[in-house]
Amino acid sequence: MARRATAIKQERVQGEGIVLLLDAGNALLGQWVSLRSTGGVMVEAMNAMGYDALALGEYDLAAGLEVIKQREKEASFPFLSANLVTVGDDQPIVRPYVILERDGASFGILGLTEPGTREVLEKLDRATLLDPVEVARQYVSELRGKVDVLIVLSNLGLEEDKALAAAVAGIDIIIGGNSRRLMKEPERVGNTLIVQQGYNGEWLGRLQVTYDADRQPVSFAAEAVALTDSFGDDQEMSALVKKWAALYPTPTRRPTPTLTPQPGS
Amino acid sequence: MPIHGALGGPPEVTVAVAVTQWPGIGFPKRTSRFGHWGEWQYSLQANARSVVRLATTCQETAMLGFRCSFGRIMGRCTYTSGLIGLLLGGLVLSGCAPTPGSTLPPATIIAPGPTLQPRPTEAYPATALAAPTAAHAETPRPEPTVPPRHGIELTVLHTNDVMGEIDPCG
Repeated sequence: MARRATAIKQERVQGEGIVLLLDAGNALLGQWVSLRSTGGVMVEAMNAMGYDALALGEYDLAAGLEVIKQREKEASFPFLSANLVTVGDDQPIVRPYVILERDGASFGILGLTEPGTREVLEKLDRATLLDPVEVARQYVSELRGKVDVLIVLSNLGLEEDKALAAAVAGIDIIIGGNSRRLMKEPERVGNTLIVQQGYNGEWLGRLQVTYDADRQPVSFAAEAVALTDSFGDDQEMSALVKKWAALYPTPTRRPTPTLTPQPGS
Repeated sequence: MPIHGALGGPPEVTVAVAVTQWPGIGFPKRTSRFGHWGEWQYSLQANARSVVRLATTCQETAMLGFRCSFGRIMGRCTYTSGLIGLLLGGLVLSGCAPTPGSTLPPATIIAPGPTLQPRPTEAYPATALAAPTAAHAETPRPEPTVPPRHGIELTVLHTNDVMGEIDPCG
């Protein structure tokens, strides 16, 4: 986490043009401290790094929707899912999309969640996950005339992302997840670029795209930045991680009791 | 044969319209709607007044229009509206005339009433509608300024499936 913060700071300083920082889901829960804090440590860390949006993944929903709503309140960035809705009236539970305005340009970010946990959600939270392609078709149609660049933040998986790009015209970029793939170069389906990079926070994806005045892509480049120790630890993030680790110390394995001969035995 | 004045009420204007059925014009007949002669008369009167009001309103508008730069155009409205009024009056009145075979008695011819007196002109401030000046007319409208669109250099930094990992190398 501390290296990621360093890399992001460097990219913001060295990078040209507009920089967006996005997460395609399954971010909040997994490791001991994040599980015990039900994602609290991740939200605070992502706030500090300046994330612009997070698409909810199926693992993010494991702690339940009440926890998600609490973490959403704490986050300085929106939680997105266009197809996560309440049972019965199909109302979105978090924001379906967000429009970001940067330097005179507008970016629509639409979130999609993999519908594998639908049955669990319906039982525990009275929520469900709609067909992401149908939902995306509806929202892309709504957003396309409002924004310069339309990005789908997808937790569907790479093959599903390709199918989405083929089925729904008008998506410029799909930032994907769930398949945990390291991609040397983006997939192209029609005019849609598809990327995702790795897992467990060991890589930072970087996609650079240049659009002309008519919002047509002129060039693009993608890279998976391995967060090796060459980046060094960001001190602010190190302190944040230590604070949370102290709150929820990792249990140490108890020493295996050994049988010692009792006196007199 | 002309009818002078309106039936019954105080005469306001001379409506020179012949009360004869105009064959081939598809106005509905009112004979079945008004079964009483008095009501029929009232209806005829009301229709005639409506036509007169229309013509008078046009005339007033035309008088106001003469004071503005569109006076000539509006002036023509006086003649046009008069002709239209007469035509409409004829059509309405003919539409209200009893059909042959109706039980209603034929319309009676009313004695000539007082003719329309010209309405006193009212003074309107001359500055109410100022004619556009030549300089005003020649001034081009400023075009709305649309900022030119530029290209976009976009860098998306992204992560996925971090799985709550806070120290992946630890």
